[in-house]
Amino acid sequence: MRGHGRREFIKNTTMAGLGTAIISPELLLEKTKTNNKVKKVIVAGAGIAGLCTAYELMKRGHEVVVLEASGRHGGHVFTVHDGLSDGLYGDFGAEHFTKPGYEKYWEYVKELDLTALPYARRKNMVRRIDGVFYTEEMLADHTVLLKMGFNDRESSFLSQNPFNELKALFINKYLGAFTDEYQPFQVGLDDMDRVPMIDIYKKEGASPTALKFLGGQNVSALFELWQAAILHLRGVANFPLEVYRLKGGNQMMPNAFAKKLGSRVWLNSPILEVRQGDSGVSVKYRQYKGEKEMSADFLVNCIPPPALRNIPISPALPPEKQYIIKNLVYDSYQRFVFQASSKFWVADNVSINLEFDHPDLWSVWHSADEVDTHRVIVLGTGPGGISVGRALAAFRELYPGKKDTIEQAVSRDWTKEAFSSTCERLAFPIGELDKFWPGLMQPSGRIHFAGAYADNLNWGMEASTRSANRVTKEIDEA
Amino acid sequence: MRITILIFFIVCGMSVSLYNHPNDPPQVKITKPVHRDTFQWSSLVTYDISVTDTEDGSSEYNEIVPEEVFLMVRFLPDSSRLSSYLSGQLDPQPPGLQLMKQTGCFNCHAKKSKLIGPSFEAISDRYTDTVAASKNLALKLLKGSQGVWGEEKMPPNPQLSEEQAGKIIAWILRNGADKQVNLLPKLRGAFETAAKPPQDPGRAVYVLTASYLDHGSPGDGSRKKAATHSVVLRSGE
Repeated sequence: MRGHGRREFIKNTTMAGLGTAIISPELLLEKTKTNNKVKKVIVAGAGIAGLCTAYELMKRGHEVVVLEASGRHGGHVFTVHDGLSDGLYGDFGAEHFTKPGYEKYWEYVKELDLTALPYARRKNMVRRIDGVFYTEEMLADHTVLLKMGFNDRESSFLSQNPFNELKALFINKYLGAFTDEYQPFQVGLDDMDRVPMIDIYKKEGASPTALKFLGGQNVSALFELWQAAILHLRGVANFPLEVYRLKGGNQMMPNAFAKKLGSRVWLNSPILEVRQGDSGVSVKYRQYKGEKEMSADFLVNCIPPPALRNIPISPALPPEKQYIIKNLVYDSYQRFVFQASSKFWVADNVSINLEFDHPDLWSVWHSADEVDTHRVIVLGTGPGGISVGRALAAFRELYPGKKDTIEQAVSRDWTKEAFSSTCERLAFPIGELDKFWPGLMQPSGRIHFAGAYADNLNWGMEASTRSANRVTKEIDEA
Repeated sequence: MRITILIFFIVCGMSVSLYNHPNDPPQVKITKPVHRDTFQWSSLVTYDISVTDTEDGSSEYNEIVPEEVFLMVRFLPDSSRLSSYLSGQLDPQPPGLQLMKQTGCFNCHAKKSKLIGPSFEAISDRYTDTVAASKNLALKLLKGSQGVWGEEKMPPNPQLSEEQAGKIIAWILRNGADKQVNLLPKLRGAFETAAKPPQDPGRAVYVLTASYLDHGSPGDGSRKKAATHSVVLRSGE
């Protein structure tokens, strides 16, 4: 403070405080960023992971461009208003997030000034099992459970715990072995990667009825226990009942990232080819019917592996990485949106959170309830390839109330989408955990990997934001 | 009055004429790669297909449903078999495959790799082409299935008859196992070439055949027409 009087110090401090209040977070971070060299980074794919990665890199002062193949950003996080009345909307893709369990995602809810709303889609659930509807009370009733074929131990457990927590009865004793959610190996369970999970359930005394609900024929015990341990370490239930969504739709977050990024996000610019060398990467892409090229220091792949398989990379990725890209598998589905003129289920005194166990329509729930209208949105999930009419017919066949007031039904069939058909990453094949993990997270030369697929757990929006931050750190510190 | 009647007949005649216009065949072209391009072993080949049809429109303007365009990729280890293959080339629209394309099977299944469901090669490897297996699989196709390959649910296909389901299963079981053939939907995509055989005489080729079956024309709808276009890629080594 030599050369500065007390008055000047107070003045400067006050100005700094004022500055802190009005400088946006990215400018603040830019001012406080480390002395790392500014890098030029191409981000492939403008889903939530690509946008989050680009946002974080931008905040650290790096030059970034996001190349997106389709004409919209957001990928599988997709909220639709078009065609729905009174300002109603439906999340056609990513549905909800939890607390705890989505720590990184929640940080962005706060940072981007978004509003999270409690989502009652898992409250008062009614399940149709073997053609019979069961309320939560029924599925906690000893007599009912025993009649369904559960044994005494299972029945006692389910009378004290939610129905979808059944597997905790058999696996919780194994979970204490895991202490680092990113480390499934060397915790004394490595051999279990070659054991189907169903064998563990059987060993632990699961009844045939319990096995019917637990599955596990096609998943390794180590993988399943590791995934459960991640939830355990995060303090989340296997099937959290308290879930949330963003007011205005979950696409509000990708929209907010994209707004921050501005003209750095290039839509309708599919990547055709990637080349990488010792000092940088080069990307050929299509834009306005012409083919162009761009060079950068790094490429961050946020394209889901099934779409990445169509992009030549030279020199080819190492065989181990290629194996991962080729063999990661996903599920997909169709989201149905039923618009009704009233909360018809209230008049019928039944829950609208229904699991149908019907091949054309798996489940339905109420959404967008904060919109000021008497109309309502009921969302549903079912398989790809089913017409909206058949899904609605399934609803009308099975709805346990008197009658509905559905006036419109629309859908998005993700299985038909060219670039973002993938929903959640599925389990790795039995006995192959070490082929996929941790390799799927690791960079290959100057290509880094982020996305719903590139983290330990397949909960998409959290995996995307977590992996985006991991990659940002890798590149920032490179 | 006479003029009015004349105009009426002219207009009606035009309408009838348009309505009965015979269906023009589509035009299909593989724009990338081009004929006689070379391929490298163990590498990705990207392709682009264009389709133009008088009634259905043009792929350039997104008027062609991408899922209705297919590329068949056939590997021939020796180009001496090329002319016999091209002259007697597989029908790109056999009944079973045509039904599969219309039913949307390729949204969830691929010829060689697992998508949401198992690959057709894996199905063909697991099941022998017997009457019992065919009936069992046709039933799964009609009614839906779960738990055989994973936890994912296979939806039912009530729009298919038993006979149609049988044709689809027959195609899968008889053609799925052919490892030298790949089938890819959509106007753009990529396939991976094989690893170089140890005793490669340098005469291997890939034959790429794009196909499209149009929707017919109003009043002539049952007479759908197909078109194909083939290019041959030669080994670059």
